[in-house]
Amino acid sequence: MKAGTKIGYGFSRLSVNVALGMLVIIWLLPTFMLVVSSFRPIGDMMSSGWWTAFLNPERFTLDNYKLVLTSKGIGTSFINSLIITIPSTILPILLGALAAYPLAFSKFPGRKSIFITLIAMQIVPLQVVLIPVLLLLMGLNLNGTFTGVWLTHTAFGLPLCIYIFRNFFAQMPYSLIEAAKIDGANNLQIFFRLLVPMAKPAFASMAIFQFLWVWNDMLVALFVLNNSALNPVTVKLSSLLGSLDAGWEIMTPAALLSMLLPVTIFLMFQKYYVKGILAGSVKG
Amino acid sequence: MAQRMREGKRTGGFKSKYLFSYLWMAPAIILIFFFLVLPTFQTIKLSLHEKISFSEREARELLQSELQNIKGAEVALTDKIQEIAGWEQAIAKIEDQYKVTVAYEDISDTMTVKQTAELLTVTVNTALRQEQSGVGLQRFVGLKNYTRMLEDPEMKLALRNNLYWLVLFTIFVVIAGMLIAVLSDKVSWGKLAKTIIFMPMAISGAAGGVIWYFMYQKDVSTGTINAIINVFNPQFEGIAFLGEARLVTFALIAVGVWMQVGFCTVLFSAALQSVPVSLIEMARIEGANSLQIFFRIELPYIWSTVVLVITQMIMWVLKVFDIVFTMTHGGPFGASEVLANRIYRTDFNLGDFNYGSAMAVILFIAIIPVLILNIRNLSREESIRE
Repeated sequence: MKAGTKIGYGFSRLSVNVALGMLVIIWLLPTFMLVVSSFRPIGDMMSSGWWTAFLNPERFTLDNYKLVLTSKGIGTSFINSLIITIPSTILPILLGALAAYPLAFSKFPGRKSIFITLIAMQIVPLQVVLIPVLLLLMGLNLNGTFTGVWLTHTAFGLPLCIYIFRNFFAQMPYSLIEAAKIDGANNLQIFFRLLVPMAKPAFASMAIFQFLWVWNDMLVALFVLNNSALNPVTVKLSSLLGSLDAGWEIMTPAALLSMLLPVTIFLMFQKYYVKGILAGSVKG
Repeated sequence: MAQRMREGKRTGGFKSKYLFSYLWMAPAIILIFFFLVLPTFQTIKLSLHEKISFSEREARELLQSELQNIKGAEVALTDKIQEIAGWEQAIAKIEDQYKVTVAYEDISDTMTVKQTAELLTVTVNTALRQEQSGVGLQRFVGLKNYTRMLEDPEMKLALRNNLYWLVLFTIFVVIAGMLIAVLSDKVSWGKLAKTIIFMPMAISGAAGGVIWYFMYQKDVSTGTINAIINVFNPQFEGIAFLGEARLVTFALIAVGVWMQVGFCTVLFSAALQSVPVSLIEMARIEGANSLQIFFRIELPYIWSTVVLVITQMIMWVLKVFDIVFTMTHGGPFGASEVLANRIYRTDFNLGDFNYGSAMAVILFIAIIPVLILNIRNLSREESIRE
């Protein structure tokens, strides 16, 4: 703990604790509600508040979960989300790191304008480019396919990846790379044997960022996938809620399951996620 | 390989070094060019065009008026087309306008103007269908799609709601983020508190939407928010937060704050940790109270972070989509409509890519000032680093 925390603000320690405690409860309440509700029978859910569930704990049930995994293509949508997310996380990181290497170490002509373009492209709203991207994919016969979504997510993730990796690489001591070159290492060797191991934190940050972004994405899936058999779980949830053709006994466990993977990854690698945000990771 | 590299360095000089640079960047640059740079310009182009549609009525009216121009007199639909001198010119004009080729031999001397129009309709629509994999035949219309927005009441509603989001969301999320950052720095369990408050950042707008849809249920016995109000006011019968035009946008803004506040807290927390302890100690010795220390020392010290967070939140909020799309689809009756949701509906429900593109351009224009600010900040950092 740093010294600053011991100085305090002069407010009583108790009032600070109470205020923060209330904020935490407010922030936790909706998720807690979802967890509790997802284990209640639908009849109870529609007739009484989730807070009453603890009066009859014997009524908690796993039925909703059994139902959700077998009905309305929700199981498929989870698999779709995984199929979409894994390549869409790996590709931009790999291609981004490759592109960042010369940007960080080589003084080729045009690098300044490429870098400025990358910064600008990070901030272009996806809504601006999605229709031409859809038309491009239509031309390639890739609309409504996983390949089309992978390419789109990769392209959209690249500017941020390149930017973060370039800044990370640029902080590394150039003398190390010089030394490796003198020892006869080529660029591939320098990249994979020297830079990649050293840049592990940057890779971790970007992997988490891109994973969460793609897993939680709805916009790209709606525009370029738009294929009910391949839709990810976000689109599925949204359409279930919109059409109201699934009851809360399906929606509550489905929403909770969709949060499970990103929240677990987030909690496990929070340190890297925070580092990523501090290094300038924001997604459009 | 390594041997060759070193030789290349000695003899080939810089050129081979640059070639490797471009090769390594090529996949990324190609993808970024075709998926981001080029589409930005294509959207601007689309926004200045409209799709050509062609009905039989249009064909009849067009042909009739062209023929009348040529003949200089009234032409009835039942007239035989080949009896009008120069009828080929009228057809040629339509061919030109719709970029189609008409088989003149199909137009026999017994055909009336009406029958020719029917034939033209088929020809033009066949051509349009062939283009249907893309955006169809397009016609330049200048700023028509933009002026159309001025008379579009739903557009006004969307822009008004975006403004609500911009002001209210940004204020609440920044103040809440700061408060949480400050408070959690003062307690031993601050890290745990921050983790809990960050967590909604990891979930999708769709999942958040489902959660809050349930939280906002109208019934005081099942809807959490209404039940809480009911505790303080037993006469309270419950409000349909998502069904009331007056309330729905504010209800959605609250969801946005819940989901995004963690981002602000992360940045504020890190910035507050960077304030030198000696500065705070000195102020304390001179008798400053905690509020004075915050507003006179800490806040000015981290001001650049505050500006950064505000710009990021503005950019986020202008594009807000998932929450609105999942929870209300812009309803009831467009009361919670925002620009991004309207773009989606225009593109897909109305199939009007051109009007949708014009809206996207407006969204982009709204973001440009923030974009310039960011580029300036980043390139300043860049020049410091070099």
